[in-house]
Amino acid sequence: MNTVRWKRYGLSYLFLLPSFLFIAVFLYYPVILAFFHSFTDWNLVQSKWTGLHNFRTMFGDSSFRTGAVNQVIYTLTDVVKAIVFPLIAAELIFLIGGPRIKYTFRTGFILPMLLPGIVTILLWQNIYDPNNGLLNQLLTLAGLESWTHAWLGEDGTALWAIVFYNFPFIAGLPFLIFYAAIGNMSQVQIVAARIDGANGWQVFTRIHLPFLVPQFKVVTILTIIGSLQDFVKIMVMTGGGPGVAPSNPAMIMYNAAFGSSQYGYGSAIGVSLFLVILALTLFNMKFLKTDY
Amino acid sequence: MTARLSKWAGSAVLVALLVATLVPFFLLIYFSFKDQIEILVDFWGLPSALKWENYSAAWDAVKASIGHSLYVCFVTVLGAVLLGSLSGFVFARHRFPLRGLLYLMLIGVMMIPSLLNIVPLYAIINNLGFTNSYLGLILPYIAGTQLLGIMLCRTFYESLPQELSEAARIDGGGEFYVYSRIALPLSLPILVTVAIVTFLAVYSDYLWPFIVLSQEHQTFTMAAVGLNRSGRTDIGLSFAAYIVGSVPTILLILFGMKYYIEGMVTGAVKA
Repeated sequence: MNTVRWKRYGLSYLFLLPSFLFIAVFLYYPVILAFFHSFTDWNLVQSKWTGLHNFRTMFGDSSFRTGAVNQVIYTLTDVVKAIVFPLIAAELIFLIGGPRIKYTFRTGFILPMLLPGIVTILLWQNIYDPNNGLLNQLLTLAGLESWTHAWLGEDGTALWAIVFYNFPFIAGLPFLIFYAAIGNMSQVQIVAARIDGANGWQVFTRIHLPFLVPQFKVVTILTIIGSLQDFVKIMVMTGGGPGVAPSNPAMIMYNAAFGSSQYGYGSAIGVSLFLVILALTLFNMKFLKTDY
Repeated sequence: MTARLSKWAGSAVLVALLVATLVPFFLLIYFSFKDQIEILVDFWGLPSALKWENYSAAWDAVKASIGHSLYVCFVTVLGAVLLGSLSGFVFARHRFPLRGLLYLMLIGVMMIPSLLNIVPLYAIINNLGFTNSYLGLILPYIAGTQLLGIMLCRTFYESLPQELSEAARIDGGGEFYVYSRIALPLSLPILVTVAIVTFLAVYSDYLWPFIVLSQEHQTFTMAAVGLNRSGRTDIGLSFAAYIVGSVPTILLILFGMKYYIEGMVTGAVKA
């Protein structure tokens, strides 16, 4: 009897084996490697134990400090961008809309999501182009030629050009989340408030905003986690320069590893970012729990 | 009166936001028909004639890379669907020691930010000799993308009546028979969902192909970035190439939307 049962167990484990092989080799093993090699000098083949040297280098490195400050700017603006504009768009659609107008606007706002992300990045790189870019051409057309810049190439503007990438920041998941939540709101309270003489602004601030708190939390934490890891647009549009002006720590990690073959140092930055993300996630889980 | 006024103001703001959102989209289409010289000399002017040659040149420039991307996508989707449904089936229908722990071990992987693994994963791919090979993309992609399939399929297979598989067993079918002939066909909508999500993620990825592959094996995303960098920048040609390369994602989203939503709804309702 027992052997029969273990034969069946064996079949279950056999069926699961492929999945576990894949995650073991390509997901768990890299994590172990990353942690181990964050304490080494590593050229992918050989490594030398250097203790905390990589982490000391990181905190002593002025480029990394610039990157960390940039990251704070990116993350704060990313959260504002993910909430303010998508929320305004979703609210306005419900304010003005009959069903057809709603559908048209919603579809219009998510239309850019049809394109692969890299195409949107390349389009914005073109918009910021000093000669043939839409932004400078618009400024010239408006007689503001003196305001034109090589937006992605100058120390003072590169970071902000990245921040304003994809303005007005609506096409994306937060917009769909807010749109769905507002569409699902119960109308009873709103009608009651209206009868009591509440105006549109009061309905928005007293009923909509409190109702949307769970959505704000989800969007905020997803945005923060995404923001800490996102460097592809920085890499494609600027390569991380001039200097490290628009770089964030993830970009510096990439350039350390794949630009100057400092794989150990890159791992140390990766591990540090992972710990920050983990702390934020745990903080958020606890934060969410106390509220419900 | 104020209500109507605010409605008008709201509409104006909304239209302005929509136009701003769609500007890059319009720019993409507009310049794809314009000659490079015309863009340089007369940025705002209408093209003297629609330059369809941009598209034929763009097709020549990116067709190979689109083929590479599609190949990687198809193999990854196949792997993700097979592994996802097989493991989802086992977790839903089998009882065995450590079942809960093993499932947690799979799902816990989602807590690992992809950023952490970029450097060490490259080392692994390098040591396996898969740099500049599509396996260097496909294998790690399957590892990550199977997870959605496992979760969705598990939920779905748990909802299937036990009698279905009992009947098959009485007819003499083994476990694999139950999986391949009963569970797999029934879960087709779920698998289409998994396939679409996986395809879109893999097709759009730029970073990992850029790290692993050389130029002669480049994917579409690499080719798109390359067009912008090669020094011979022809904006019209580049933009036409972006459009050509976006056709697979556009088609998939437009025609797959029904399945995509259906699959999601089925998965959620049956849960």
